Amino acid sequence: MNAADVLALGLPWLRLDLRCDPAALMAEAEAVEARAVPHRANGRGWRSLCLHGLGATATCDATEYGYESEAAAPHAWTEIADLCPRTAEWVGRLPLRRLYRVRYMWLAPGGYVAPHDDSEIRRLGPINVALSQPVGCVFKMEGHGVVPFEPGAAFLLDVSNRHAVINTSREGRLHLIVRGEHHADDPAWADLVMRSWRAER
Amino acid sequence: VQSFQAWARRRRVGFGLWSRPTCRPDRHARCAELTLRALQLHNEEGRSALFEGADVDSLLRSALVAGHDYLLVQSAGSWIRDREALRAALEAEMERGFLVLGHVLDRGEAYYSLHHQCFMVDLERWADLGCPRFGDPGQTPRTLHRPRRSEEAFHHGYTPLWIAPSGERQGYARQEWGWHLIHAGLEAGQRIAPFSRAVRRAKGYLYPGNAEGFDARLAAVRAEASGWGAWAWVANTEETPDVAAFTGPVKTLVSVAAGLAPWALLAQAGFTAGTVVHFVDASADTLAFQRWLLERWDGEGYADAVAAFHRDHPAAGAQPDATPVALTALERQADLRAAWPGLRRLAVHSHRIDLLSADCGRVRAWLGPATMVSFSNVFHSRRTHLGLTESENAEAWQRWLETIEGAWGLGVDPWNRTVAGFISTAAGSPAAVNRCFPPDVLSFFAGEQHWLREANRR
Repeated sequence: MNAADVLALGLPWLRLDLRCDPAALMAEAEAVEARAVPHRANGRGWRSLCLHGLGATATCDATEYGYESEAAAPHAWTEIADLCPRTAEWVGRLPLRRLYRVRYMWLAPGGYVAPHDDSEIRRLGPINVALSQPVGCVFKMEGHGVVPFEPGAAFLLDVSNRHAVINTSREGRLHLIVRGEHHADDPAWADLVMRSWRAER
Repeated sequence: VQSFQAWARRRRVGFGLWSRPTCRPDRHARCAELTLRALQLHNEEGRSALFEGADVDSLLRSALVAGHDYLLVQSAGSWIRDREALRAALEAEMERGFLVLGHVLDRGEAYYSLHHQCFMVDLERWADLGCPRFGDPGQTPRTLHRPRRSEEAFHHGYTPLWIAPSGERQGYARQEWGWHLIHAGLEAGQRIAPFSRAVRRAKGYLYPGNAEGFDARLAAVRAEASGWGAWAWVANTEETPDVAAFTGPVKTLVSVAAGLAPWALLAQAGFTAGTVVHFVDASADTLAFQRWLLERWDGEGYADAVAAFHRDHPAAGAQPDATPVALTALERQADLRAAWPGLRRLAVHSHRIDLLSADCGRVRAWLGPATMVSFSNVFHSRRTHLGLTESENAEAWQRWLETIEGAWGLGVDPWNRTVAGFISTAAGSPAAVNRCFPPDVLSFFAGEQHWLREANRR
């Protein structure tokens, strides 16, 4: 079995064999949190800020800003990346062919993201990194259960599955979502996928 | 002294606003604000842990997953008038056990129901029954558990003193609010209890659906809140804040006059023979109490001193929760025996100033180096939260911050956040947090309900 085979299994998520220092990255995020903007209307207490994208506060898909697709949009590092150098460096080391949106996603205490799906195409797409994950905050995919996030854990997610998040805790939650192009025939990406797959098994 | 808030935390009582409108929008908005502000006052976490929603089932389920054992649900226009009395009455009910407490109504051909103004549910029992739905009004003929009921009623015959399971069923043509919860509870042999007279007395309701006399009822609430501030405040129930960051000794203390707190602050922060005290208080009785205390008290037996003051001043309003036990605990906590002789000799001035009014500007005259300004919970009290709107409260707070800007201040802000340090006017209001989740989100996580509840109770 190779990386392409693993990615074709129809997994709802794959825990990536990646390490980060969530406390250090959290500290950078907290320094810019006041600049975050509400993200979408299908939730409460859901705020976002881009380190990479079409602008720090352009937190939605590129098609919502007039581009044909994410691939067609001129994504670039924003001023937030300059303020969060360790996070930007960590993201820059990911074995992706190209970065699209890289966003902090805060979910306030009492916040939620209503059930939805983000794509009609079944595929493991975005990388979702939990910089914080309070007990009582849950990310669930319909038919598959709760994604076992913990601080510092990174998952490759198939967000064509209906999913939702609820934060019943008294603390805010912060995730980093990295969207970009990855190809199973890129050796570094294939290596990460295979290491992750073996570790999960 | 255990505060209402501490009791609610120990008993894991959550507070919910059932925000379904029952009247025209402007009146509903006034009532919802009153109820929310009262809830923020009685809830230890202020704005950060309330449940607000138009659907009772979502309120109950949200409070359950948040780890609460009970949810007190109030409609817009309902408020707690006497929380100490309410605490005692509810504690007795909790000891006895119940599924639901409320205004139980028996309206003839309609099945038994709950008046929407206020009710309380034991969430653990509710969960054990499988979270039965509350039950909206309807006109579907149904066969339901017919309870036994008292012949006597609280009033008008339709408000039984008690109901109990009978094991029998009967057809009913109509259903009103809460019918299904009552039916399911009776079927399971659970206690469905009408609010006792003590609970009824301890809370109020503006009946916003009844336009006639509404303004007068609202004005009465505000007047009641204002009168509450006029008692002789002999005991502070809030904890004395830490003044270690103040560089003493205190040259001038500007303080509200309640209880032993001002003297405890001086004893902690340090004072000299030249220290001057300015008491500023809206309550003439509280100022009179401090004058009496300085003249008559020898520093021991505070509860006896308070009793003696009230004998000497029979017209002074008595603070209801200032029991001998509470006063003795307060005296022990303040521990003024050594300092009291020196404190009694200080220059003390009394000023009847309402810090919530523009009159608070008079305080500027006494500010200077080594001045401590103690305003306690003046901006977060029953007086502010039942007597003022949120914007009126915020305006008074801003005016006060501008008055004492740069001074060393001590107290809590309108959102019950501790202030202890040099005052700046920059502090904003915290975001309100609604912990009630929509039905579709709760159903999506129904399988995780138990797990979430346990996680939030750890």
